[in-house]
Amino acid sequence: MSERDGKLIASDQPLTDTQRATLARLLDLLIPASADGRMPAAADLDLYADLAGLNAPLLEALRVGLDRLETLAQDYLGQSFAALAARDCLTLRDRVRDEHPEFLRTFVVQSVARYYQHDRVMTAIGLEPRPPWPQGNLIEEGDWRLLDPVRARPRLYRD
Amino acid sequence: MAQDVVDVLIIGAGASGAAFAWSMADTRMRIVCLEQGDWMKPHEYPTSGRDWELRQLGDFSISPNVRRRAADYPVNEQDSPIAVANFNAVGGSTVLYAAHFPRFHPSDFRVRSRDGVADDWPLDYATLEPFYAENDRMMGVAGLPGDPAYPPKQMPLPPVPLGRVGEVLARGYNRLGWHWWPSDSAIATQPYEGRDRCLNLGPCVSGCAQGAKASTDVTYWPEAIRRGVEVRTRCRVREITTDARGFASGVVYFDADGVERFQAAEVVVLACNGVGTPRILLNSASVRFPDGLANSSGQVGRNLMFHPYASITGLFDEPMDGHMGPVGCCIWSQEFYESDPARGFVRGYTMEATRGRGPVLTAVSGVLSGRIPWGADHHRAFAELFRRTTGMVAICEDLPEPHNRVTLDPELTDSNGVPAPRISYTLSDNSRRMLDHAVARGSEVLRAAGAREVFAEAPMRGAGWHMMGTARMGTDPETSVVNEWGRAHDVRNLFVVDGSLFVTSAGVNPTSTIQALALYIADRMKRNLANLFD
Repeated sequence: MSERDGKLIASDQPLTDTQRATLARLLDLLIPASADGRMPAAADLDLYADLAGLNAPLLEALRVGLDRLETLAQDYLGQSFAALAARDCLTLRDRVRDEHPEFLRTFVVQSVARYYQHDRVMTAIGLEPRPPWPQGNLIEEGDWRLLDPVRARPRLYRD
Repeated sequence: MAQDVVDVLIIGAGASGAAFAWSMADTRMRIVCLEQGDWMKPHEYPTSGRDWELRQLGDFSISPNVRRRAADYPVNEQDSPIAVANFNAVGGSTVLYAAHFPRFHPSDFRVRSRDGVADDWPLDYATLEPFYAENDRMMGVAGLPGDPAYPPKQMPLPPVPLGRVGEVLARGYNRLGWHWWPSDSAIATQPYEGRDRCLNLGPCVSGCAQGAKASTDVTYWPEAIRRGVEVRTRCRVREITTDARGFASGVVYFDADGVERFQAAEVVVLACNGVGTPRILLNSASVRFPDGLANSSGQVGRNLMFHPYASITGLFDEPMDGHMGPVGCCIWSQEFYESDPARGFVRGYTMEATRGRGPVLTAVSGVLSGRIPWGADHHRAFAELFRRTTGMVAICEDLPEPHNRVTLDPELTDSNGVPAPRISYTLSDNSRRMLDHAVARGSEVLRAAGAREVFAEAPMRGAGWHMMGTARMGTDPETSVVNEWGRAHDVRNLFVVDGSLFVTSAGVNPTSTIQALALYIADRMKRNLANLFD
């Protein structure tokens, strides 16, 4: 693995299998599928398949937090984090959040962003799955008659 | 070998440096601008990619301490409740600004006379008016004539659309009988001078891929370069040097390869904003100028003014525009702009509508604040917020206080080893009262517009977009750094043309006034070329 312009160049798997399992469990806790099935679960979208764009410090923060979660799970509950009940996962999450605040912030920002940039999710919330440019967006011109009472006011400024 | 001496050396290619260079090009003198950043490529701005929202938290963050591009210098802002926002490139912070383009009011130049605080400016609105108008034409400003909050003025382009958000908020203002008006916006609402029209992409604050927003890399600079001005990018100035007479002799800078170079100049012009300019002056201390260049008054770096901002957001049952439309430019209200002693504070503020957020920033801020929970309720909470919020920011006038200042950090440096700026800033009681008033009035408008819930943040920490007052103009060399046309009292061939000049901050975005001042100073210099240093 190497670095260029602050961006990670992944020449091998940047996360271990255990780290990926921990990540998947966290994702499922953060954004599960909606009850009506319209919104997919974050863990089902392979959000971290591509880590390009995640700079080295952020990736390191992610790794450190995932490893810490697994260590705590093994030490205190004798199980892998991925196998824990939701309540236990959230207890350990809160502890790691206090120890490594940058980890949880990175996880939330990256996961939520990747989720809401996904084609299936954008479509589900009523957006076209595309960037804003070059097509742009249409918004209403609006009713300029609303200005009539303001136009009728005397001047407000002082010399 | 004869020394290569340029006639005019400008430091900084942002809002003021561009306007000044364009105007001075009339003289056909040899003009060179050194810019620490590079040319931007608009088609690479975030809105051309799917990760357009996420990049606002990374390489297009408004904070140089988050962005950490090669062109950026760090800022120690630990001793300030407001953090610096800027951008370093050709175009400067206009690359990332929202393009709000209000002028000052006439009373803003007479703060001492009208309200008994701070100082009057050494010039007035009428003096600047032709330069405001010229700048509006060059930048391509959209707006609607007839605003009762301003003296008459013409706008080159029709206003930005109201959109759903503008209509909803306008009805709220009308129910209360308060002033509102479409924002003056440096956005091409129609094709204008080679720029295509706005496509309502949304996040103007991460660069305009369409090129409709008037950043100076697409307005003034192409014209200035055609007229012979040279821009050297990735050149970071360390200090201004002086000669035996106490005149500026040139600058020492690092080029793109980090090689230290010297450029001699007959005239040196600072256009680096209210933090960058005092930084260079303080870094230019010498035996003759031990407290920094042009600092016999001790005022360099002092009187730093931000605009304390309040953010007031309403949650509505009906759908809004979300991220669509120019995010910062819609309508504004100046109902509480001019001083009224009954309010418990002096001076005033503008309320500027902000349209809304896209899905990523809605969700990220919601989850981080706890408003959107983890787990099964995530989707319900997201749906309640997404495209259902809109609101405003209140931009409050900040008054100059000597203890609010820019100094040099004793340890922090940029990538060339040049001492970085340190900000020491406290919010005044007057500003706190003004922010409280703005939050209360903003909440009233949103409720009147139909919001079922209102939330606010004041002051907004990351909103130090406007840095002003740190090399202020005045007629008295003991209390000001430059004279009434930007020339340093202490160094007669050194000029300042950026927001450092400001005597007071007004309660509006400063770019229009910064550029009008730069054009005014260039005009004064051109008229006085024969005796510029007398």
